[in-house]
Amino acid sequence: MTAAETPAPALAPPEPRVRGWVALVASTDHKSLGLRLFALSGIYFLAGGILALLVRSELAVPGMQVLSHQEYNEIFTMHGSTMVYLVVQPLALALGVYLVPLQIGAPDLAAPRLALFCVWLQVAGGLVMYLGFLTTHGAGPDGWTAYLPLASSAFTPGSGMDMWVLGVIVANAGQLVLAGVILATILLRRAPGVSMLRLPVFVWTEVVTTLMVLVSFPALLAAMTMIYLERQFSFTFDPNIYLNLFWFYGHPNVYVMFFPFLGCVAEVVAVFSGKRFFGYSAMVFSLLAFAMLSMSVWGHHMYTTGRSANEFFALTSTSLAVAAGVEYFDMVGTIWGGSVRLRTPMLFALAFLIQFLVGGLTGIIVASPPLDYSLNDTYFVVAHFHYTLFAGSLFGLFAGIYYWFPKATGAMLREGLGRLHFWLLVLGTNLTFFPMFILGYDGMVRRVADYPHIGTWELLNSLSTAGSGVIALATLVFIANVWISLRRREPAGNDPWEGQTLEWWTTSPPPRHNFTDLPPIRSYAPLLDLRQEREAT
Amino acid sequence: MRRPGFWPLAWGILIGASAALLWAFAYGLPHAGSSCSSATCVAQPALAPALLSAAGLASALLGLVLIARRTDGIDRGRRPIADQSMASAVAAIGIGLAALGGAVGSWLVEIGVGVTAAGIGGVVREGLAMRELRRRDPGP
Repeated sequence: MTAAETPAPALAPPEPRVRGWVALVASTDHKSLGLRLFALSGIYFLAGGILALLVRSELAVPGMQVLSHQEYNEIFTMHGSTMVYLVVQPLALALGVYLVPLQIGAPDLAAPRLALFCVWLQVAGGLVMYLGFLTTHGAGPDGWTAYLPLASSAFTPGSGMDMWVLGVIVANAGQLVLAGVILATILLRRAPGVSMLRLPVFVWTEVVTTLMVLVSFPALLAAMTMIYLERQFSFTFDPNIYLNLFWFYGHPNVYVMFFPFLGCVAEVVAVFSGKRFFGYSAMVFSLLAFAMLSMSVWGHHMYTTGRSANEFFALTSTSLAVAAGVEYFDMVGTIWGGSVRLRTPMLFALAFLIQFLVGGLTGIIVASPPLDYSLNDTYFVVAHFHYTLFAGSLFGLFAGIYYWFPKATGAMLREGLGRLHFWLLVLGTNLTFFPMFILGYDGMVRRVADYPHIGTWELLNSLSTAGSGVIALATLVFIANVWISLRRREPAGNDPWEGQTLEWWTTSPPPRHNFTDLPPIRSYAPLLDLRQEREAT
Repeated sequence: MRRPGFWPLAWGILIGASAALLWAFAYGLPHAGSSCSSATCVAQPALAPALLSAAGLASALLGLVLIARRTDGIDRGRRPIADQSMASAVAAIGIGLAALGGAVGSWLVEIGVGVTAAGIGGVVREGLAMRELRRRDPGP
């Protein structure tokens, strides 16, 4: 096989020199960094999941059984904060750290030492947040939004809240810089032949994600600094300014936590349908429009405050359905007429498409101010965002994990355990979160540790708690699958799925600087081009 | 469109268009001709559109800088790539300690700042070593 292109050579030796604990602490190889960030987020995911089980245990029946009101506040706050700041956001970037250089034919990230620095900030930020549990007043108890003046020292005394604020600043500052590193890699370190319109769809989702991080995360840092200044130096701020700053970060962040997983699904759908991705250009431009709109909708979190331009934000929030529709159309168009292989990655991708649709359609409901006035702060909203983040993004993530695990480790995950994991997770997810739509519609408010005996509330809450147990079981099956697959390895080879993008050209796992040569690159799917050329001759 | 700077610029312009619409809405387009008396009158009307405008401007500026550099984003060069950097990890841990000190006391802030300074010193030393490597082997 003749290589038409040669990637930019590196001056460092091609084989890894860094091993053992030094590699764990100090390796700047983007693959190692990506996997370490993945593992760190996985640990935080388990911690956040245990906190979720505590929350659900308390809510299983009316009355206070497991936790005090104060403990409940701390635990649901740390659950939400962990999942957003320490799990899904970093996972969205970890995928980019691992995959972007491989998909654009680069030997490494643009600034690998800076990326390592950011990964350690992530470790430090999470630890600082969790150390709050050891303080007299406990960890931060004000919800992941920490609205002012609730988060002020007058209403939330104690150093645990200070630690929460500082931990959020450190972790998110790291993610902000890491996003810059990923974007710089995409814009400035592509291999010869990889033009911007030959980037794989996943890389495009990282482009829009990192752009959004760069312009929205500074608002979060400013908002958290406001809380810190208020608490430590008795500054006073208009809560409206905090609200705007927080949600100017908060809503784009929903899409930061969505686009990379959409990118995973797009790659999986194309490969497991045996087709070129349908409507590539439409997808690229709709991603840019989607990202622009997602920057313009934050005011819908403030409808009921009476202090935002509701007409504008209702217009932009509803318009999101158009951009999302283009992406769904592209996905369905890719599957349509393809020779679909229903392997575990594809199962997760299909579930993502169906379940995220539930989250998206209920989003249109709360995008309407009159309906939001009624549903605001109820469990309907909790169900909606868990259908987007858990039933959507997490399923997209698992599609990506099952798809790229062979590339990262050189071993296949077990298909049988993968299917068991999939079906348990589908069951657990829908059992946990669907009853919340009904509870919210019936008026059960969120962020409360107890609720009265009304109608079917106890039954629905019990079902939801049972579902969370099924999710925990599914997680154990996944961990067992990873353990068994790494202990008793089934070799994957370079390209077990007939992949289309550059990462499948190199070995599994890839060598230190990824490539010794590259195939001719004439589109965003160079390996598919190569296979089609071979079939034609 | 082949230039990488085009994309952040285009995205910044899109956000700018959205911001222009928000300026109009925030200053009473839906209430034109009458004084605002509904529950959705905008408090501090400049705040939200200013945030969105700043985001659009930042993205557009990034695009313009890239366009001004005339880069096509293709990496043809030969350059050293670091394999490890203990100093970067030390600098980040120092920042974590300093942050924790912000809640528990200035003594820990001082330790954290010291560790960070040591880490930054190490990063500078690594940078100089990289420059030396590039000088010795400038490549083809």
